[in-house]
Amino acid sequence: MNLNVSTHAHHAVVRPEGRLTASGAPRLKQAIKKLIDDGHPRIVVDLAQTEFIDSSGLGALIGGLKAARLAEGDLRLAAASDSVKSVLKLTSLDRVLRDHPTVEEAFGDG
Amino acid sequence: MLDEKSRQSALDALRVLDTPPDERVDRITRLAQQIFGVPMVSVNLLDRDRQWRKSEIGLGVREVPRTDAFCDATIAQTGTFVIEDAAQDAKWASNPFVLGDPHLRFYAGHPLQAPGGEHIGTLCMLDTKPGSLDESQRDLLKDLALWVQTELAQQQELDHAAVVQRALAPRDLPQPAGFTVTAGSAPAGAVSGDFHDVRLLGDQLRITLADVMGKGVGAGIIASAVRASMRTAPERSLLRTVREIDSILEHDVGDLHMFVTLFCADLDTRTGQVSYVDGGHSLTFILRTDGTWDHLNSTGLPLAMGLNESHRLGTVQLNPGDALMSCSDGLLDLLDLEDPWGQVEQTLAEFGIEGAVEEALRRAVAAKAADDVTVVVVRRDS
Repeated sequence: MNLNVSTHAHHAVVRPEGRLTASGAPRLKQAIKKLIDDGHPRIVVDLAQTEFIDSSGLGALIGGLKAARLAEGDLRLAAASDSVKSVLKLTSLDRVLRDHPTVEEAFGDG
Repeated sequence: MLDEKSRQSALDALRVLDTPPDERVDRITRLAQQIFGVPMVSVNLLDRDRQWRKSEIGLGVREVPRTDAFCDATIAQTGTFVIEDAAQDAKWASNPFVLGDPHLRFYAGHPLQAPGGEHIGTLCMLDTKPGSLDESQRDLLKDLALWVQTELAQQQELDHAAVVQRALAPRDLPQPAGFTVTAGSAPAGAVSGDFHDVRLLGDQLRITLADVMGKGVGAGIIASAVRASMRTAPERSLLRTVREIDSILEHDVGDLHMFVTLFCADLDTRTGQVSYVDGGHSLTFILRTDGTWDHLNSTGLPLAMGLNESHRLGTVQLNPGDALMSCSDGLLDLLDLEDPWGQVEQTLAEFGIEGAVEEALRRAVAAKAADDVTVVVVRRDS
C-alpha cells in the first residue's frame, strides 16, 4: 500500500493506494496521528485508489475518526468504491464514516 | 546432577515427540548445515530409551536407541560438547557409530532446554572427518540451539492456548424440542478470534456469534472476554448485555483500535419469535421453506467503537421449517462469490443441517482458510 498525504487550507487529505489491510493499517494510523498532532484535525481519507479494506483497515479509520473528533475535527471518506461502500454498510460503519463523492465535497467548504 | 525423571516429564509436557516435521525447525537445521558445512545435522530429543529427531539432515532415520548416543553425553553438561576426532578419543574410539557405520569422527552438540531449564535434547552436527569449533562458532551453535528451543516452546504455548480455547467452545449444544441446533468453528491459526455460544435459558435459546477484528492470540483473548461477559448475568436483556459489553470493550481495548462485530439473539422456543441485536456483524440469514433468504440487517455499530451510538433490537419470525444461519466473514472467503447463498443452500440440502456445518469447517481446513470460520445454524423443525 502507498500512502500520500497532503495538507490544504481547511483540511488534509490522506490517500491510501492499493490494499488497506493489517500490514498497511499502522502506517495509516500514524499518518492520521501526525496530521492531528500538527494541527490538521479535519481529515479526508481519499479512497479513490483503495482497492480493498479489511477489518484492520476499518480499525485504523475508526481510530482516526475518534482521534480527529477528540481534537475537535472530523474524519470523512471520499470516493469509496462500491465494494468498500458495501463493507461499510454491512458493518453499519457508514453511519459514522460518511463517504462523499469527491475530496472537495467531503468538507463542503474546500 | 541430572534428574532423569523431571527431565522426562518436561519433555513429555512439550508434547513434541512423534509430531510431524515442522518447517520452522527444519529451517534452523538447514541453516546450521550451511553455516558449518557438515553433512549431518539433527535436532534430537532424548526420550526414555530412544533418541527421537524432530528434524534431521543426512541421517535418514527419525529414531535410534539412546544407548551409545553422543547426545546423551551432551545433555549431561551445561555447555557445548565437542568431540574433535572420536577415533582418537579414548572414551569414544570404541563407540559402535565410530568403529562401524557411519564411522563418525566429529561431533558438536549443544543442549536444548525445556522452559523450566531441563535438558531435553540437543542440536548437534556430525561429520565423518575430524573437525573443530572455534569460540565464535561455538557461540553460533549455542544461538541456533536457543532458537530451536524457543520454537519448540512457542509451539507448545500455542497448542496449549488452542486446547484451552476448545474447552471454552460449547460442547453439548442445547436441542430444545422442535429445534435442531448445530455449530462449529475452525481457527485460521492455533487460536481463533471468533466465538459462538448457544444456551437455553428457560424457553429462550440465546445464540451468540462474535468476530474480533484480526485473528490469532490477541483476538482470542478479547473473544474470551466477550464470551465471559455474555455469559455473566444471563437474565439481563440483550440490549443491556450488549451495551455493557460495548462499554467494557471500549474502555479496555478502544485505544488499540480493535473492534468486535457481534450477533446475539433470543429465540423464543414456544413461538419461534427471534429478538436480536446485531453490532455491525450483518452475516445472519433466515432460510425460508420456499428457498428464499431474509438477511438480518445490523441494528447498530460494531462494539468497542466508543462513538456513543446505541443499538436497537430487531425482531424476526422463525416458522416451522425455517433455519437461522449466522457465520463469521471467514466463511465468505470459502464461498463462490458468484452465488454464495446458492452454495450454502446446496450444502444444507446435500449434507443436512448437522452435516453442513461440518462440511463448511472441513472446507475451511482444506482451503487453509486465512481467516477464522464459525457457523451456527438453528432450524425450527416443527
